[in-house]
Amino acid sequence: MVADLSHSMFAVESRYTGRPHYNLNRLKVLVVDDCRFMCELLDCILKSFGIDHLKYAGDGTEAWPILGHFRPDIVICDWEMAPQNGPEFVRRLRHESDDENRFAHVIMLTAYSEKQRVMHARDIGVTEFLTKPVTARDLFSRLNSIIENPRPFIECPTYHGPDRRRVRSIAYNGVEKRHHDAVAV
Amino acid sequence: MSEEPNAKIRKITPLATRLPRKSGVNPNDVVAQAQEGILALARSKTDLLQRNIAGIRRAWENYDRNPDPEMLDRLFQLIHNLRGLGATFGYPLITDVGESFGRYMIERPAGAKVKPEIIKQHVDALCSVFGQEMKGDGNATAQAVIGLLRDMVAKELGGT
Repeated sequence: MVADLSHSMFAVESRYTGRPHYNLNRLKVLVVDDCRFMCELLDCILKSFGIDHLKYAGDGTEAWPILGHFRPDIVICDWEMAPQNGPEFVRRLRHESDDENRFAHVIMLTAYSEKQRVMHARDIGVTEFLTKPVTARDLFSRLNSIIENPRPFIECPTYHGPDRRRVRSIAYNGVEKRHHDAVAV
Repeated sequence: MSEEPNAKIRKITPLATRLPRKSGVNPNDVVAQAQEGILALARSKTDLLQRNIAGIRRAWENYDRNPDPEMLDRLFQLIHNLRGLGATFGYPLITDVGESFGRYMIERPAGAKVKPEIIKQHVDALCSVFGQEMKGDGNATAQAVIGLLRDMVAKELGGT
């Protein structure tokens, strides 16, 4: 039984009924956040989801060497950190890391909720944007989205990251505008 | 978004293809269990919230005595961090106040001087919410205070 559902944001929706539940034990998640309590909170949530392969870093600079040997599937990254903040780290991840790490799924988890921030995060290659305070429901939803429906990865001179279009119109009958076929990663 | 003739598109193999499925597990239960864990952790760390609130009060008093940009930045960081934790501890009003303060600090026009009275009202609101244990949505007075803060910030930002 859930102890306290007085918060509407803690209400568990029934939309997961019937969907397959994955054994997340094989997932590797890197958390980059300078707030120790937030790291404890995420540790609690992720382990409840069955994720055991977890690493933590206090900022982008600390996270960089972890990438090399840990090779996370998913990075959960805060925005405000020093000396290297979240956007700087993500930009570097998308442009400078080796092949495997470059395609890691990135969830930007931040107290910022302003539209400009969301758009900026999108434009630097963040996969999902989630605002704090974090809820188990929202994080679970984002993880499921990443697991089941990853967007293609786009690489061009001005952008490296998941396709920024979330909806593909099946009604589009025009010419394909990209010259290269998709390459499976 | 401009068209990029040299764009490469790489199809990502879904993680789902290498994650075994767990039968007999209701994802709702998994989420509910995680939420219980959040609540239990927050209950064990109420002193953290208290320390954060005290730290914000001190930072404001320091800034009030000496309006230094670094002190203001420190105050912003403290309130910003609390904004991201308020509801976790059962105080969504703290998140609301933090959001209003963040909006004022981020969206005020470049070069516009910071008004100490606006900061003070936000700090006072945070301290009151915690001091009076206004959990959840609070009462009508609490909601009115949040509304006043938002209106004050909106007016300061030019009515946007």
